Amino acid sequence: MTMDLSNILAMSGYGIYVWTAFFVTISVMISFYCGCRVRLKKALMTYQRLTTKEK
Amino acid sequence: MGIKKSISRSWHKLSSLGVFEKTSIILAPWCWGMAFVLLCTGIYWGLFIAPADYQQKDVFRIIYTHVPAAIMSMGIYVSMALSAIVGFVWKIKLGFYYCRAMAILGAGFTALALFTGAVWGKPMWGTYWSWEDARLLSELLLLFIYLGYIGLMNAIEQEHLADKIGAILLMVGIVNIPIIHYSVVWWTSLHQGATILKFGKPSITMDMLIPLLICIAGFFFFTVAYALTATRAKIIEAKNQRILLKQLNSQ
Repeated sequence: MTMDLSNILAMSGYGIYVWTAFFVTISVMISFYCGCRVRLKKALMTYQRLTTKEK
Repeated sequence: MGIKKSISRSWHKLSSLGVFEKTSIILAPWCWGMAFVLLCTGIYWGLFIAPADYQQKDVFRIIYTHVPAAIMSMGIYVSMALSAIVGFVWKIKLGFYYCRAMAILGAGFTALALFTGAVWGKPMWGTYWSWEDARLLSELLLLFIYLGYIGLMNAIEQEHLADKIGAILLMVGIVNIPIIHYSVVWWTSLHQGATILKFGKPSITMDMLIPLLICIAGFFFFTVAYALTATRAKIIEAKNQRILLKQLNSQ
């Protein structure tokens, strides 16, 4: 099991390249997801505040 | 004449902001869900189940992030250029909102494709970057076009003018897309030739191709979900601005 894990991490000697690429990709996608969700939430909250003020 | 009119009317109705918002509310959560499932499956399959390449060994697994990011970087650009045409010709605002919302994701995926390509290039080519490679340079140019578009949108205060000039930039910049795709055919390149998007049989074995297709589908659904959410946010932001202006004028 330990051998398997170390093999997986090593990626036949290219671990640093493979894991960096995947780590950066996943980080970028999570940040885009969070960024757009936060932006939509903020816009909706502002809209609610403005429309209640208008009424 | 009647048919032409009714087509035009339904075209405008379909692209109305209200219809888009309603569609976005329904479709976005499904698309996010699909993206999550497909990306988890594709990445797990690509990292742990797919066999290692006989020449490149395990470093080839970068293909599962590099290729989808590169395809989406070009796909988003084409969709933005088409939306710009729709906005420019038919004066449909949704087209411009879409372009504004998607530019940052397009730039992000282009940067990601360049980064993962560089990380893959170092062990395979012995270098992270080559200034003599047409594929690399044309993809870098795509990043500059995205950044130029974002800069332009932020620099010009008048929204209508910014949208029009931005649309022209997007329409002109579309020339770069076939250059990116065929650069490996037209010029001698460090970059390998097309693997999937080519005529005939893909030059990749099925047990490597399936997880790649799943990853591409995951990136696709991620892009659609982002488009629905971010464009909706842009529409609401514009609405907020209009209400704020109205309130300020009435004071």
